[in-house]
Amino acid sequence: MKGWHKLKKYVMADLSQDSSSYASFSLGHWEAEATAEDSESTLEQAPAKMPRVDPLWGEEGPLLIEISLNDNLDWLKRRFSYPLNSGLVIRPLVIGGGSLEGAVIYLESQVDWQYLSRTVVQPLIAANLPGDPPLDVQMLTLRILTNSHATTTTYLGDIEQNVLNGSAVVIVDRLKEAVIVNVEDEEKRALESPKTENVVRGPQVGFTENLQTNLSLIRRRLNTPDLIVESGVVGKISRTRIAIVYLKTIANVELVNEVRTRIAAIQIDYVGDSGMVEQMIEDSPNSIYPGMLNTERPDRTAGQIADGYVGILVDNSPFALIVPANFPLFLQTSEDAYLRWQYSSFIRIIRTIGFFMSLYLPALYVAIANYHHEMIPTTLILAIAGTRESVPLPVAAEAFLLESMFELIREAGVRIPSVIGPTIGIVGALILGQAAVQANIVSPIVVIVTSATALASYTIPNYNMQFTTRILRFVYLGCASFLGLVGVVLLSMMLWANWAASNRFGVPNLAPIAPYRPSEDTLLRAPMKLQSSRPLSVRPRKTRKLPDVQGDAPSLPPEQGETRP
Amino acid sequence: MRKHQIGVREVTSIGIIFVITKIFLPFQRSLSEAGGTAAWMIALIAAVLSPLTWWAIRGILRNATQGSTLIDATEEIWGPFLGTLLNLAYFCFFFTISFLVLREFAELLCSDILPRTPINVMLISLLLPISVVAHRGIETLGRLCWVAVGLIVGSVIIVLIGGLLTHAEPKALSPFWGTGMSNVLKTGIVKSSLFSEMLVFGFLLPRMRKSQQWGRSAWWCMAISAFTIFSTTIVYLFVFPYPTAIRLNVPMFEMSRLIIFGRWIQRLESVFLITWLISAVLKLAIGLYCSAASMSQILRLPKFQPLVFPLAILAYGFALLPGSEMTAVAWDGDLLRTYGSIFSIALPMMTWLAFIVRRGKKKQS
Repeated sequence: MKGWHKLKKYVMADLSQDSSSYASFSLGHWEAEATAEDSESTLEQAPAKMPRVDPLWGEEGPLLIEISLNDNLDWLKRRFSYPLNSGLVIRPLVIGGGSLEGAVIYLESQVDWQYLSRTVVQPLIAANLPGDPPLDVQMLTLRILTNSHATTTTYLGDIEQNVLNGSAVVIVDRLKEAVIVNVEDEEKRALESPKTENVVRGPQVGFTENLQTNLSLIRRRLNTPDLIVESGVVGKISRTRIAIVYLKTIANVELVNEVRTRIAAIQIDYVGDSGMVEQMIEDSPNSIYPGMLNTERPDRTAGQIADGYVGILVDNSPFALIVPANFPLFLQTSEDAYLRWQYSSFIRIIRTIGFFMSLYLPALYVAIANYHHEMIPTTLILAIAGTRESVPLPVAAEAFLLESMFELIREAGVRIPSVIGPTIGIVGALILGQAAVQANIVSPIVVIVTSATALASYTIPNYNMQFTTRILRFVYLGCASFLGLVGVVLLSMMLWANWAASNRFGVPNLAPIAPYRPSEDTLLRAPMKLQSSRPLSVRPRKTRKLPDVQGDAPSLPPEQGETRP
Repeated sequence: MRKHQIGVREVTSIGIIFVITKIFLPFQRSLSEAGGTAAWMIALIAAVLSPLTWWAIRGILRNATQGSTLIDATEEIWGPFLGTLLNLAYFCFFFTISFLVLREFAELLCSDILPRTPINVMLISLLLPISVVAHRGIETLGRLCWVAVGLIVGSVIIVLIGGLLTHAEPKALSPFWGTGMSNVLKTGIVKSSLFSEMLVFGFLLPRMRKSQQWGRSAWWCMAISAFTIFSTTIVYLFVFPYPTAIRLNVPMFEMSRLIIFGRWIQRLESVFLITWLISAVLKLAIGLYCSAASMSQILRLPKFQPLVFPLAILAYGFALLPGSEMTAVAWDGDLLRTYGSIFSIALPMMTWLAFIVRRGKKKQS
């Protein structure tokens, strides 16, 4: 009876009108023509807020800093399990060589020690304090700690969070405020080429695990004050920093608010990568199709943001998430925009063919070889029959076997240590190729079909979409062996219907193909000069991509002898 | 949540697919039996009469409360008792289309494509995707129809061209009046039910944003459907002379078998089968959706979805009622394509007239 509530909907009519909040979110009246007023989205309810770390509460409200230095230090020691927890460092000092006691608190290995010493410890010790007026935080930040970025707080919760984030906190006896100095030791990987999205033409830099670096990579590409970065924290234990990035004059207000709302609703203790955030905020967790686009390319992210999409960046993750992601996006790369339209349209056609081959080719072969022989020309069918004469397995079993072997090799290729990496190629070629054919386990035509399918699947630029085709390929194979082409078509209808029916962040999956929206950048790409409007599917606030004649485009510097109007 | 609306493209595509899918069934043969070499004239007369359904539906929807479907409007004018009876007639019409076409397509697949598959397995295999697609609602149907309509009409055109290139009888259309002028004209009027499926506009038009768009979608639907039905009939007569034309089980399928574009491109019926199967699934899903939607409106249910799967099971049961494929085809020709106009033209016309009379009375009072 445990699963009764799941089965109930199939047995008893559910006439309630309610539906899940994610499924009901929509950016527009999809099947109707787009009108100008649709683009002017407004937010009817109060905007959501990005999640923050919950403040620490005492009996009488938020915990405030005590007047006594020792009381504050005791609280911090208890909080960080000091001295059991070896990470916390409490550096007591006497400020200005007088009688005023203070302490610098930080986490070992989280701070740049030399920078801390130079900008915080030495200035505090060497400070020349006037007797009157007495020392306060204003004096500390404006006169003593002048070589670093310093802020103040009165809450113990803030102190805790900033110490964890790699800042140093200065607490002074008889002061009810503390100074937070950013001395974070940012050990980070150097900028490298993206691992999964290589291009021939275009920037060769990818995101890193550092959120600030990633944000700067985007900021460098979108030099406008309209670029908004909203920060928050997710994960009860990990307290991972997260940021949503969008252009306030272009991105749809409702879309941005929906992103905020979903991030704020995340209930999880640990966030290790943007992939976990993706799973927490996507519309249909049970769907086999990816819910949002992930990319490790800053140029791709910036390009999509400029089109009205919203980027989500998570600390410690080199993958940005882009929402909403409709089907054509998964077959596009950033390189498409850098190549001339003829070339990029051509490779997009290749990718589209690759996508469908990757899904259907083995199933089509099995269906035709099993049920629809008449489709194969006589000479070819005789050749196939000749090669299959000595193979004991049915066609479907052959295809299953070889596809499974290929999946094994692919997974092994990812996990195998790089030192013995080349071995996998040799072993794979032996298993999949000559040995299997010579042992009469499979026929050569199946080897060709499997190889072509594997090549086709690698043309899909998105890693998640590759998974979709890999899994569905087996399902289609099953249907093809059961009902031939009829089975393949019937299953396709079900899957495509489900895909076409659902939305991703308020935008139908198959937009702008169905529902149709005029677009110069879908499966084919128009010349750059003709790409005058942003994708209407994401309902940007400004649909015109190119600035008007009197618009706010950067103007050219005046020629010599010419004066500005 | 926003109420989603349907665009011109989606409405037109749904209409076209719902009307023309019958060309993949023994429809051309039935017309040839009725009109002989003048079968094309029957298709032409039916096409000329097709706007009657459109005008009647438009008249009803314009006079009814804004946003009402054909079912709501019928009940609004005829009252709960008579209105429900008429609405049940509409429901029966859509449901009959669903189960008869389901049986015919299942038989077609069993006899020509998968001869060793039992009819039960084929019926269930077809009903599964049909129910899923219908359950997703009219927006999904519209999106799928819009993607598929080009493929379907394109495949029909290729088959027609291929058929004509392979074989064309120069004197196929003589004698000009076929089975006789009066018979052809009479049959043409009766067979106006070839466009009975346009009744689906009674569900689609209220979902459109602007009533000015109604006409665009309806006329496009009628034009493309009429062209497809007419061209398949006339080309069929050219490719298969009359004596053969009245004997073939599935004319379009046989025509696709004839196609030879060189040594490598021939016997492509299975390729065309893909598009025809898509068309059949979509038509049946539209039929099932309309059945469920009309019944849910009769019963005043807020959702139609709970009725989809029960109706699918009912359709399975009803599809097994005809004893053989020939009986199913006969039911289609003798019932649906003979009395279909009563549902698609007569009943809506009556309702429209009733609206006009009531409006006149209101003005007088």
